[in-house]
Amino acid sequence: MTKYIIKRLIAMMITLFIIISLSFFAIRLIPGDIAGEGSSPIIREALIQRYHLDKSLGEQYAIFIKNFLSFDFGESITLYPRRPVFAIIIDKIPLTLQLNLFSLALTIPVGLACGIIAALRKNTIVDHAISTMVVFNVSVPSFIFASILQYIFAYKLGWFPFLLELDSNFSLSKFVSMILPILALSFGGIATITRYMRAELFEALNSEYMLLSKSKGLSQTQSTLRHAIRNSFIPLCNIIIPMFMGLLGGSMVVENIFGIPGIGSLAAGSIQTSDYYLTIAVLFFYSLIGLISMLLVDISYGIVDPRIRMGGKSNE
Amino acid sequence: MSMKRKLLILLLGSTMMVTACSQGTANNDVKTENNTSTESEEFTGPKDYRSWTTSMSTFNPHMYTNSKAFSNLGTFVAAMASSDGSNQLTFVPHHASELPTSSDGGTTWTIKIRDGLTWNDGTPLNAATYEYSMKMLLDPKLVNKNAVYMFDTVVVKGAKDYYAGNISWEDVGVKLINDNELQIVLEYPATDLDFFTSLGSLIWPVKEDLYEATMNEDRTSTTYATTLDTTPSAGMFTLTEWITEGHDVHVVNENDPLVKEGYVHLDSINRRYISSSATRSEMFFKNELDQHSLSGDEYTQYKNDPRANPTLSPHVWGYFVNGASENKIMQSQDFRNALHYATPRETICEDVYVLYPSTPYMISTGIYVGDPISGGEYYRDTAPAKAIEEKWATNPDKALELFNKAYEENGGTPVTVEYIYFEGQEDQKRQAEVLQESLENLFGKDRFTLALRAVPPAAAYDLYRSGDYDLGLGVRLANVFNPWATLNVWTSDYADKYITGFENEEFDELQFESVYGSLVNDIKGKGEALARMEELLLEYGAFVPVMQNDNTVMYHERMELSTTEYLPFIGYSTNQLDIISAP
Repeated sequence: MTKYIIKRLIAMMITLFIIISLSFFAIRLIPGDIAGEGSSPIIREALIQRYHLDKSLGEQYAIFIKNFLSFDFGESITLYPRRPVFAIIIDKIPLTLQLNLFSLALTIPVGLACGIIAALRKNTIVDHAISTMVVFNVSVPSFIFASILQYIFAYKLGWFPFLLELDSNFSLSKFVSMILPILALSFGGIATITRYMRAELFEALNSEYMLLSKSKGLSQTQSTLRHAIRNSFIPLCNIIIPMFMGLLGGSMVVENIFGIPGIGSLAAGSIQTSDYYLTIAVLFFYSLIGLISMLLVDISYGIVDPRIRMGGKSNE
Repeated sequence: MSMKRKLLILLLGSTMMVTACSQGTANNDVKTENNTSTESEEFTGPKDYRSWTTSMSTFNPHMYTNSKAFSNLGTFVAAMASSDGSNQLTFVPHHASELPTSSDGGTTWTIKIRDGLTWNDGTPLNAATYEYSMKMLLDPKLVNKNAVYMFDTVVVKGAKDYYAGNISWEDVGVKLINDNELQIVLEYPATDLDFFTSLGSLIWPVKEDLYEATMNEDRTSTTYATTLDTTPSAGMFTLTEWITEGHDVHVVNENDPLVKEGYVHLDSINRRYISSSATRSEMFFKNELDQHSLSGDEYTQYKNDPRANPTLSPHVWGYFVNGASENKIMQSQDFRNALHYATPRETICEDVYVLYPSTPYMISTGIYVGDPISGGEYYRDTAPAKAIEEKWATNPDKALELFNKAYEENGGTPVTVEYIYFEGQEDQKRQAEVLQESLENLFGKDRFTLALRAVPPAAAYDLYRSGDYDLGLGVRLANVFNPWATLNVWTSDYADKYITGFENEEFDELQFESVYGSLVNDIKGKGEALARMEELLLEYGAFVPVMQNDNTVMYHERMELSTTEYLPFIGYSTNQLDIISAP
């Protein structure tokens, strides 16, 4: 397993290197003006020189890679002038993570419960109700949920605040202010997990090992809990772990609606303002998350189902 | 491991992460400033709750993008609404002890700084502080964007050369006479108004020790004023809380000269960055925000509401017209003028944007000619400007006549013109479609086609620079009191031109004389020059004006504005408003 992980980590670093190299060239091809529209030509010229944009693309790339390998990710040019890009991302992660952890804490149990109930009560009115909820949640984007929730519960009823409270200390009022964004972020995830869980569990319930377990004397409940549900979890690793890692990416629209200064809008903002180094850093960050989540998924298979072993040589 | 233990570990892990996140936020962002004397007090007086549509990513006065954000810093001069309720703009000395005075015909300026000014931690603030700030602003290694204020409307002697690294600081026209006096030498004479609205109110002090401490080793960058800890205050308000892109809190500074003189009535300003217009609107109508800019739909509903206050934008949006395009029809002045007369600006403004007035002219109604204190008027109220408005009003008949002429000269073959608008914006798309339908119907679909092309705004401006376009939406920004200076973008040798083919010696001469030459102090002459410059641009057809992006802002009834009329440069001077009842 250790050897396998080391191999994967090396492959990950090579992939990251390729990604940032491609990002560098792709971003340079996007038209834009680092000085901002209407700015003085003298200022524009000076900024172009400062960020080596007057040099050839090859020279720029060499400078960028040299700095990158010495962990100098550069400074923000336009969005957060002169702030180190790494510091910007690090600053934004805690708030995004905090909100999304709560969202996940709601999404996973509710999604699993709905999926299990729907599978156990397949083709009943309960199953139909849950399936309708799933279709609705999958179809409606999170920003629509966010707007509707805010309109009803903050504007009309006044039960919750419009915006996320930005107090540094975690308090009850802060938690209350997080409820609407948490709900808006959760609906889609709940639907996804419910759909997977229902399908996997239904298949497991009709499998032969369930028949065997019951013939060995286990009750329906015992068979379901000990065998069917556990086996249904294996494919769920494929969605729950990336979902967890994806939380770090935040949600631009939900963050905009609830006034959350999270990481969600960084990518779009940096591209729009030609903030080259920040864009590359954000892409690097997202790539890192993606690659780590893929690695964790692969490793998790072996943990959830001991029959699956990674990196071991075949005995055949 | 039993299921219970696994669950317990999971629960503990989650709790630790949530706690860590909240601590991380605390450590990074929200810190109550230690070096302020006004921290953590329970406010009993009027608080103003505002929203921002553009985030505050830095309070570094050398890098900022929103000058209105600087409630925490002062300048030499402050533009204020007169405190006698006369709805009059006035310039009052802020950090200066008296209004700056000029000699040598307006090229040498003397600024006396008040005694006893301090930063919020008690450190003295004097003329040397300002000299240091200007030196750092122009520092060639730091490449500060706002250095432009030293050589834009008024040009400080040697400022450009120092910024380019060609001369030493001693050769720049900024001289420290003593701790309370600065002398600034300009390359060209400037009026009081130009000096007050540029150097006088856009050069902010920086705190030297903090600025140096936040500088990197090779002195090419500083993180000054990027966090609350590195943001000192010395203005009408003190910054006490700040989360980047989140919120900021400013508490009134009782030691500030203008606060002492009674210009400020607020105890604090609490601002929150809210990018969603729907959220801002709901919060305003729920009494959770004190002011709100109306969107188009809201404007229809609330334009006659007594809480609605119209503003005047100095900028006119329209279409850049490339007379140097390879598309032959674009080279025809008749065709370009036909585009002007045919553009359905009234329909676009009424049906698409709703909020914005249509403009057949290039100089907005927000532009002021002369000195609003000693005498002047809005440019569009002058006789020459009115004549231009009348002459260049939308006129489909004239447009068709001009088009027919250009069409025949073009060989009578069907013509296609490409129109560029900004992608991802529904309003832009709709107005493009209105323009397309209107022009094609007027000129004849068998003779004229308007091909629509959506591109990102930055890409569109790049195309205007390269000249690889026919017709494209955009704006050139204008200065309220000095439109001549911002018309430099149309001069022949401007370094960052959008290619339209417009080059005119008379225009270049009028622009130079109005900004730097014989017309600088001649208000009447400058007004006439402005009208002539506008006429020259319209005649060539370099730009088809469409609308000016005026806003309407709603203020709650509980807010008492310091001026009931919109004043050029300061609008409704919202830092001076009073709140007369509880929300």
